[in-house]
Amino acid sequence: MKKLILKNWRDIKARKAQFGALIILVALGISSYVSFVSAYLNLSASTEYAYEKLKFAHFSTKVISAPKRVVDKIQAIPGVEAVEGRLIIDTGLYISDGEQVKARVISIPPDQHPEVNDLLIEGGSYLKGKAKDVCLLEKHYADEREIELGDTLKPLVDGEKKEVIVEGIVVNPEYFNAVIRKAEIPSPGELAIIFMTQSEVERMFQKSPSYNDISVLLDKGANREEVIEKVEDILDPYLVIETVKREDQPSNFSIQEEIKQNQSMAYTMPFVILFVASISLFIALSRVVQSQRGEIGLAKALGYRNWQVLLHYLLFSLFIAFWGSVIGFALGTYFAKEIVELYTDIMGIPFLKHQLHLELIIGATSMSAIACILAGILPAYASARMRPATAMRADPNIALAKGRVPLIERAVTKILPISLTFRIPIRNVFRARRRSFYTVVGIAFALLLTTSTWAMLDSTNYLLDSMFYEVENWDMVAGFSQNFSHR
Amino acid sequence: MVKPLSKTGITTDNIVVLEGACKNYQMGEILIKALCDVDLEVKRGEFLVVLGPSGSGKTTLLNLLGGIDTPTSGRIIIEGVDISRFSQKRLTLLRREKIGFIFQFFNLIPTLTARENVEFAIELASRDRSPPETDAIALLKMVGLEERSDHFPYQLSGGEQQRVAIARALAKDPVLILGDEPTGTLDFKTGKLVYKAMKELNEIEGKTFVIVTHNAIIGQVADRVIHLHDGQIARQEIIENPISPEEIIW
Repeated sequence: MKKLILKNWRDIKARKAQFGALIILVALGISSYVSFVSAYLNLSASTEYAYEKLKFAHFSTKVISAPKRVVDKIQAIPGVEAVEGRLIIDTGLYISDGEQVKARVISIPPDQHPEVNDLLIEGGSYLKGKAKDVCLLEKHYADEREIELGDTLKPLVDGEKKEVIVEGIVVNPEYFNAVIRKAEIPSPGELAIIFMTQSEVERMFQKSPSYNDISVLLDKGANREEVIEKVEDILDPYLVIETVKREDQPSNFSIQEEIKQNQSMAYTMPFVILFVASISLFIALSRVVQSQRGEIGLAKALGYRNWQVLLHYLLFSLFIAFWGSVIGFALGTYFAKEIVELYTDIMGIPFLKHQLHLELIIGATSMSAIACILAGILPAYASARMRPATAMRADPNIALAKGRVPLIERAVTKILPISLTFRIPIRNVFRARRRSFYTVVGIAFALLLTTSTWAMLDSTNYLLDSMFYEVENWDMVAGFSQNFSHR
Repeated sequence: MVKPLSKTGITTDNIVVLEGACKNYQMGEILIKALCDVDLEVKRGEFLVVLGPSGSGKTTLLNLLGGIDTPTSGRIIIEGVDISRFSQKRLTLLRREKIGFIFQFFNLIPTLTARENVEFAIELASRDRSPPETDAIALLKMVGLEERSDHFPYQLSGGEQQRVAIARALAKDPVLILGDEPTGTLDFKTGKLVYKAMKELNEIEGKTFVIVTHNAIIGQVADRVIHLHDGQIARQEIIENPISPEEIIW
């Protein structure tokens, strides 16, 4: 077998461009699988880790106004790990004459971090209890507007500009994606999330000591629905507006949608690419077997067994599968890291969990091996089954190919006389039907890959155009910090 | 090249016996009767030449003798064993252990060197022997090509390639060596060299050769000549005084 394996190696070297192209094709399939699945797993892991570290609420209940004592009552419900009462006020932020953006002011406890929906300080420091007219600013807006520590923000209170100084830049799990409505497209420079101490919010917006949002973190294994029911019972006298569960929380919802998209990409694109690779490999290996009929005949005449010949040709597939997996895995891991970094950066997820997944290595190698073996088994089996005398004769497929005139040619020539130059290719297509069929399928899937990528780009453009020029068809919108009667 | 030491002579025992061997091929819609009712005996140590025009069934006969094809009817007995109903697996073992082939187009593996081509066959030999590399070099030396052992087929002349094929045929120490127009693609001078090498192996090593060719002159170097016509043996002749390959002219 040593010399057969040596022959494998020399054959590969002699066809290095062809094998190289096939390896690249398999590597692309594997890398897309590894990168998407790995990105999906790592993005999920990073998000979950960040949520756990920053105590992202399992649900939040919004009320018109509830007294602070409700927090103790809710804390006493079995299954509740922590409760945080907050005042959340949507208002405007003055930028300059003629420009203002949306702002959400959220109250936080002084001196100590919130028990739920914690803040990660990216710059500056947490707010002291007695400090006045200071705030913490969410990172997306700060980055987009290039706001630094010590800068002044001008939130609007009943149309009047107030001034607060930025003491810290923070990341908050509720605003990893800077949106305040579900399915909203984030626009980081258009939404400022401002954190101020509870007393400062009450003072600035002239509110009595109260909360309008109760966020709850649950113990592991707690029954969320039961807890929600009890919380809503406690808050019922204070007019419950809604309870938003973690999966419906706008920022988390959009992140999970992104993760789902990654997941669906991970289980469609690679299979299409690997299918194309399999067809290409099948055609290439069939060609190799055809071109080496004499060598197959010789090996068998000398006394090589069927399984040795089969293994010899299957080794080509395994070679491609192995290197396709190795290169694909390396590329995929690199791309996955880039994708997760890009996502975590855009979304402001502060922790990056990047790890190799054993199941991915096994999955990628198996996929590559299965695709290549399936593609290679037929030509390899055909080679092993050849009788030496048959193998050494001229290829009967060529010698005895049916020379019939295909129907299409007969039909066309009836209407339009065509020259022999055009008839020969038509006949060749119908003479080697299987090869023609696989070529057509291969080209179709290659086009599918190309067009589906373009289609995704077109869909996004179409979506954005529809959103901004048809659905949101206005030039200016006025936002109010509180409801007014339409009369 | 090896020097002739002595003529080993032809023994009386038959190495191959064909009894009423027939072979038909189905080529598309046509049935071709390639060989019809052939009776033949090949003696151990014999240098047998099978002559006949194209399409006379020479190669078919060789394929049957070598176990690379099976007869449609009749029997083929090699060293006393009837192989005509052998399975492909048993035929493979037979070829591996007993038969050496020399083909018209050399059939060397283009991606292996001369030495590796010989080792390609040596690896199949089951008995204990020295490392393949040593044997390959020794065999190439026998055909005068030890200096060219690391050359690839495309770097060798036609005659050299055929001599590598002869070395490969000897690699498994077969009891029977079959040649299918071994000089068919070679020029006169190179062809003579190839026949010289084969004759020496026949006379010195006692190897049995069956050579098929359409070149009647080659019959002069044989111990016996069989004439095939339309898939049947038309006649045979014993060559009482075979001449040296160096003396033949075509």
